[in-house]
Amino acid sequence: MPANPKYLTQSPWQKFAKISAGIVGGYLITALLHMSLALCLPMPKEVLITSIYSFFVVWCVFLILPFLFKNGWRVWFVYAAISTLLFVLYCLANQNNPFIS
Amino acid sequence: MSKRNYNIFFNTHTVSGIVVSVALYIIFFAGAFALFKEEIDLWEEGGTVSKTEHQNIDFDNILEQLDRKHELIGRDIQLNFGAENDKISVFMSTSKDSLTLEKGTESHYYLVDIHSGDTQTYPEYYGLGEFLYRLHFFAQIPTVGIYLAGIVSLLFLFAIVTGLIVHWKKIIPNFYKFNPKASIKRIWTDSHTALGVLGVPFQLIFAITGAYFGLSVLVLLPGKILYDGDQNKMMEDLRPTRKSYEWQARADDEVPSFNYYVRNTAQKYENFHLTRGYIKNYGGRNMKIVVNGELATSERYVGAGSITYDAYTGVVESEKDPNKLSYIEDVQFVLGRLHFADFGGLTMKIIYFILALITCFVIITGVLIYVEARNKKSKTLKQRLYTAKVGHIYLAICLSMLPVTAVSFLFVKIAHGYFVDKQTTIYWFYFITWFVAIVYFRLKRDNYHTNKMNLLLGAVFGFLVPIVNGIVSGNWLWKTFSEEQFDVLLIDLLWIGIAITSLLFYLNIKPQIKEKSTFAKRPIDYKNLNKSSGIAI
Repeated sequence: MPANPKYLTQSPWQKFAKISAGIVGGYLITALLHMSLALCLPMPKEVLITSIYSFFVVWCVFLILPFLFKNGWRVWFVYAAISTLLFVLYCLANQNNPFIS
Repeated sequence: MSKRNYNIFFNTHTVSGIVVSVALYIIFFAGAFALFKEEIDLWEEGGTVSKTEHQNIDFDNILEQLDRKHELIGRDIQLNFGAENDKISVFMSTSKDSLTLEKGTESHYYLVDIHSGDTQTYPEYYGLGEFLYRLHFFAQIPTVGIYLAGIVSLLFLFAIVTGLIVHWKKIIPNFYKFNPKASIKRIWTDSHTALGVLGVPFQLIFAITGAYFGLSVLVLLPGKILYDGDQNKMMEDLRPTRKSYEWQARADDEVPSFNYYVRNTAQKYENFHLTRGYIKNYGGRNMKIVVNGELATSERYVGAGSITYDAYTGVVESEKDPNKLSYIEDVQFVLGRLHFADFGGLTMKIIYFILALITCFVIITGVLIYVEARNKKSKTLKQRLYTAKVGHIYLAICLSMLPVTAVSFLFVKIAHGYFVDKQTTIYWFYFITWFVAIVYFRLKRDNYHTNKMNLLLGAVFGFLVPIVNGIVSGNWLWKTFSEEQFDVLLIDLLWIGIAITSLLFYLNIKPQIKEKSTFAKRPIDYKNLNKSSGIAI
């Protein structure tokens, strides 16, 4: 104690990549995940309102995960891939949107 | 867990913790007092309250007086009944009727006396309870304050989770290893871990609900997209009582009695206490009346109910039975309940209060570990000076909150009635006193002194709170007790409790403890600093 610096990321760009991936990418994934779930699962409104509890918990997980990677830009790549997948899922599910009717 | 991951989690915990520490301390300290917001405001007012049940308030009289002054036709009106403090708050929107008089075009917010109907504007009513409540989400910082509080909550959640990961395996051994005779860093570390972990369920509640209250806009944004941008429809679905109706035209008949609907709703269920009323389109053909209430919390943990009436026909348009759960509405209700501790009566609030102060302790010990652990030979003088400075400033800000809050209680009591704009007065007093204290303790550069002085001052001012209350308002402890004004009594007792605790800590912290600090072994010689290193401080 304190943490041994030999294990920590030293490059500021790497730090930036990890933190920004967590904040921006993490938010995108969380939002798209909740939107897709609300569209796909039964009882859409109930699922949507549950996000007031689950949203920040899920986001927090995606804020922590980037720090386990060695390369921060790789996190961006992975997060972008997950977001794209979720976005496709959202677009497919959105054709049958139960909220607008 | 691999060594690398452990160190990484450890560092994220340290950094996120240090970044939010001061803000979080302010939130928890002010928030602890905000639990008793209404009691503090009553204490400050100093009079006696009639304890009128909300259903027996003569609302029609109040509305009539407001109508004469402000022309209510076409407005949406919200009435918050609040606690039993003889005041209700009334918010009226601008009139939707294009034929309204000039005075109908302005929106208003008032606190209304339930007996006389006299109105007070917000800055006139503003009290220390409201101030501390608002301080706990930084509302004094315009616009961004609440978002800032939300971000702090999110980072707090981050710090809790990483902290749990780091300390998980050490929870039980550390608990037994606790030894107050060890080095000061060990004391801080062990108590930080033990109390931190004990408080985790409570802290998690606040991290999650707090993040939602501060950053709800980020949670609602995906919802809004699902509703194709139609926020009104989303709100109607998720919060039906907030629904608003298009204005049609004025009704020909006299405006129906609000009292009637209030009493009707109150009698419908047993043990049902009214909390809030809405009048939509006052005096319009499609005027609606919504009355909200809750079952006594001894009956049900979640017992929110609401009835919407069509005002002219008396037809019940929708009903939420408090004895039955509705997931969509009640899940939001529970979130508020968990955050504000408005269940389980006084006991629950006192438990919350103590847990909040324990959290403050965990935050402070976290900062102290950071400061102690970084005063090492391997660090340069510049680095050591920096961490020491962080420690001095952080402790000055955090610890001085206790005496500053205590003395503000004395101030509002003594100054009560002298100032019209109480909001500005409290701002000035609290922030200037606090600023002076921070500057003084910062320049003293002695954490031991900061701690001792603030405990002593907190104890002295704390003991003065009930005395000043007795002298100024005549509300001596025995009088409020015999007259059953328990809200006022509670605040006095709370301060006596805080003062005794502070005094005990003050007496038990002895100068010898300083020798266990790394700053005793490796002191920073501030006097000769400029000569030896050329670093400005």
